[in-house]
Amino acid sequence: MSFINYPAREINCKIVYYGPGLCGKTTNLQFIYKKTNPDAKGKMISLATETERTLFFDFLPLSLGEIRGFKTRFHLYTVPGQVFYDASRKLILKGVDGIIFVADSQIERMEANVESIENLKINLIEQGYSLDSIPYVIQYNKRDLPNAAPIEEMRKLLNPNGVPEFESVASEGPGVFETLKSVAKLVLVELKKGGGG
Amino acid sequence: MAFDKNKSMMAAQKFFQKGQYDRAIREYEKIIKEEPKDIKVHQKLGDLYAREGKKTEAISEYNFVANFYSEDGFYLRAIAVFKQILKLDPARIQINLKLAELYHKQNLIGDAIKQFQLVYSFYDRKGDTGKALDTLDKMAEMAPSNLSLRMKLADAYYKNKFIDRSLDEYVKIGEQLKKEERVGDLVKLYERLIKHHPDRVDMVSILAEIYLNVNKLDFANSRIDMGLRVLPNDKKLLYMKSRVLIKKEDHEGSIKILNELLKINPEFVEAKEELAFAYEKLGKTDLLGKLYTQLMIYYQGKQQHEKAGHYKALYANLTSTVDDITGTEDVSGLGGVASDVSTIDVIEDVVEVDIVEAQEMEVLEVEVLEEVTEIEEAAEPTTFEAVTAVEEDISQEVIDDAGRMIMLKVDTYVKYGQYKEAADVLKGYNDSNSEYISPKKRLAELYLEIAKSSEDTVEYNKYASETYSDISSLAKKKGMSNLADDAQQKAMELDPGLDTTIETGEIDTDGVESFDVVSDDEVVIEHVEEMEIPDSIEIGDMGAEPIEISVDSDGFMEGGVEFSTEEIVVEPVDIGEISIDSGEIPIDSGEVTFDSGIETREGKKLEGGLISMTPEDDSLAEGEEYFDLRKELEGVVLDDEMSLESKGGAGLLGEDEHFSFEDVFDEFKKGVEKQFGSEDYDTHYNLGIAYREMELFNDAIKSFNISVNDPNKRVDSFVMMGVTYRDMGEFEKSIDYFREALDTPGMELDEKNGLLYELAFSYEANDDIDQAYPIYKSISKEKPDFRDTEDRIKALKDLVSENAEVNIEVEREEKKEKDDSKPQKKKDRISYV
Repeated sequence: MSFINYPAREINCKIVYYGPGLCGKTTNLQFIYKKTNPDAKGKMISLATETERTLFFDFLPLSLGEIRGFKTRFHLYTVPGQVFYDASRKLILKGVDGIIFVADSQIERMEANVESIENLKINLIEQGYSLDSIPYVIQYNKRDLPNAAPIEEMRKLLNPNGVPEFESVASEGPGVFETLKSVAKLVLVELKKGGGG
Repeated sequence: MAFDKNKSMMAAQKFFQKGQYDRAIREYEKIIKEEPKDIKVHQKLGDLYAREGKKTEAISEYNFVANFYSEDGFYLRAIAVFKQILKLDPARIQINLKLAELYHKQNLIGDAIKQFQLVYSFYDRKGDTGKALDTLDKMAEMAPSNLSLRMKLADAYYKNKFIDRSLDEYVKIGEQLKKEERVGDLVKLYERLIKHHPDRVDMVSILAEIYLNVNKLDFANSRIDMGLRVLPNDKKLLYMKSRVLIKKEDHEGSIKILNELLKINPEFVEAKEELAFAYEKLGKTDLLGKLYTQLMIYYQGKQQHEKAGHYKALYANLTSTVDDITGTEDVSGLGGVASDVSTIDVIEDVVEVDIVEAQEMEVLEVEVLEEVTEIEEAAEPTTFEAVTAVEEDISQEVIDDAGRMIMLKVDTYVKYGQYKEAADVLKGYNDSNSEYISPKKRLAELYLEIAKSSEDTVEYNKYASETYSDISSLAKKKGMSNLADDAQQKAMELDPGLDTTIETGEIDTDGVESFDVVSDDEVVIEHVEEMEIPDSIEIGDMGAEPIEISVDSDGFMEGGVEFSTEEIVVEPVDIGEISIDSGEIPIDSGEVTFDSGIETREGKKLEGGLISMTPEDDSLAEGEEYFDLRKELEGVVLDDEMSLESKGGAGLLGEDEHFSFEDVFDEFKKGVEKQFGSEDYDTHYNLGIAYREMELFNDAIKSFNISVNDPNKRVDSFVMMGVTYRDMGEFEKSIDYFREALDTPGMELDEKNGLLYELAFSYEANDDIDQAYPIYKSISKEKPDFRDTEDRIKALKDLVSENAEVNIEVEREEKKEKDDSKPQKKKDRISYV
């Protein structure tokens, strides 16, 4: 849960972008990085293999400035989407405060979406969390693609509990900040409630 | 001197590290000369050329690498390299095409289509219609249910004057819409199209069908007439015409049309049914007999016994009515059993004719029916009632072909009062076919009929009893216990001396065939009436993807398809006020509300070793502002009630980490080192935090050890090291780092209290209560509500030794001295307090 560094008077909230391979998690972070004031962001750490698959994780620190004398930072992470990088995903989920599940809207990626969401649930349970108790939103990405599945269908499949959801085209920007804002709000509300830890 | 590749590689690497790219290039070129197939060197060379701005050379190298990967089946790698080429020169159409094909091979259909769209736009701009359409064709083929694509393809055909292909494509779109039950969308599309192409009977016919099924009879009639003007003998249109007339109760008109239709296709069963209905309505009983017989035989052949029974009953009713009218003798009773040989011969002939007709019709009419149902699938409200499996309803029993023929023969004998002959025929069949219940039941009933009016009552009752007993036995085997009991009861009643003991044993269910009451070839027909026709429809609302159509004065696309534009705007299509007489339909007349305006949605512009994915800082466009997350979260962010208590967390890395993860992590660290170097303190501090959150503590410490070199990060880094060591259980080290941090001059009170608390907490964790307690006490004195110091003090009070109490006294004195502005003593451990 949120790490509060009293001596440094700093609060770190960890938001993880989860989702299947090539769904656009890194693209989300890239867009946020590009459109955020240089004063409010650290360097984005993002490494990828030559096939543009995220290596280990992406990391982008965002600063909200001081709140009640505490420097408040959101640390945005992505996980590697490929199935076999589960060990990495488990590590990245440690101490998570909020999750954005990025779903690939392409019809042929529905199975991968479902698989990834199931994997998320399992990895959270291993750490004593659950999707019901953690700030969690869904982003339906790649809505611009011609083979995007209908939202209704995706909702039925991926969002049966009706958590906040957003359509996006991460490469262009629509939906990216809306999603981040939504999960950030939820995280802060949790922090307010004293759930932050 | 022999070429030393390793040496050359090392030299190249060295030049690269020094930033002497031209010399690195020369080294790599040397290697390529010696080993032209070293793909990694080609890749490196490509990277270096690109870095040096030698675009052509870089592309050539990348092309070599990508083709190599592609040929060897490493499609993802090939994709990555082709993308590098496109970064250098996005206009290379062949590369876009290759990329599209690779995406397709990888089943990344969305990406493939996106790429093909670029290719299409290129050919389209170039005016290469053939290639442009081929590309669109490929796209449509890849995603056949993608209506947006199909629409674009159809529009493009039209634009390029391939009118028929365009219309065929629209028909496919219509079929897809129909499949998706988007009737409203379908109607709008076809109405728009037939306005300019009234000769497209396929579309006209579908429209008529839809209108007919929603009881918009005038509209349906108008479209049927439009179609019949082009194809006067079209069976489907004629049939629909007859249905319209029947619904309008114009039975004479309907009969006329149906007879026309039956002249064209004498085997059209549905037309016969309609005709029978019309005759019935007009009381033309003289014409009904043959029709009923034909229909009964047809449905028996199709194993639709209920329907067959229906027509049989109608026929029976008809003959009895006729007999009543003509005053002939009742032939249904046994009294009517003819003994006259010539009469029997005539009956035999009739029976044979019926059977032959049934056999012939079966083949022909199946074909006709299939044709009809194929056309009307999912749209035609079927008059066939679904056959449901009722466990013990033997009327649904499916008997074999020979049995059906025998039953027909029996019916005919019975019709003419020849019960004994009927019973003989049926007994012969039952003797050799023991597995069917319904013929046995029929035989038992026949025996009972004969027994009623014959001198041999006892004998025929006995036969009936035996047959019922037989039925009971068979029904038990089939698990139809009620039927078995009933039959047994009847058998007993008819012949009380019947020995039933044999039937009381266990029921042998082995080898019992299950009942198949629904034949395989039954068509499940959806009811179009159940389809929702919305009042107003946006084609853009069609589910998966908005369909955007722009139209010209012909009702077609204006300006063709242009993927690179933001929107393809649809103008509302003015179907206009069209009178029914002219065969045109006022869509918005209030009777049928199909919004003629095909509204648009916003179209979206489509675009198309270890790599750094960190984007360059973009300069914002004019008028564009940075996203301010803080501002966006105003009102939610921290207020006075917000709890800031950290619960922290500790634990070592799980032991189940696999080697593969280590590999990945090593690679990652190398990448970070390469990308950020060791002087990017901010990044290392951030990385330290990230690693610590992942409980990769040693790596976190390494990162903080780097960031501590930045004076601005010194205290923070010490604190993080203190916290991290404490997480690791290394409390002594944790204490040392907090003390280091405390030595930093110029610290603010809150910061100092925070540090003291962490220090005390580490002492406490290290079981050094005597050190922890006074620190908590001192914090409490400064700021009693600081975190949970009061609780800590209460918890530790009883555990602290006397010595510590003394220290507290010392501390108080020191504090007093401080307050008196006396010079402070040299710090010792307690001096932090």
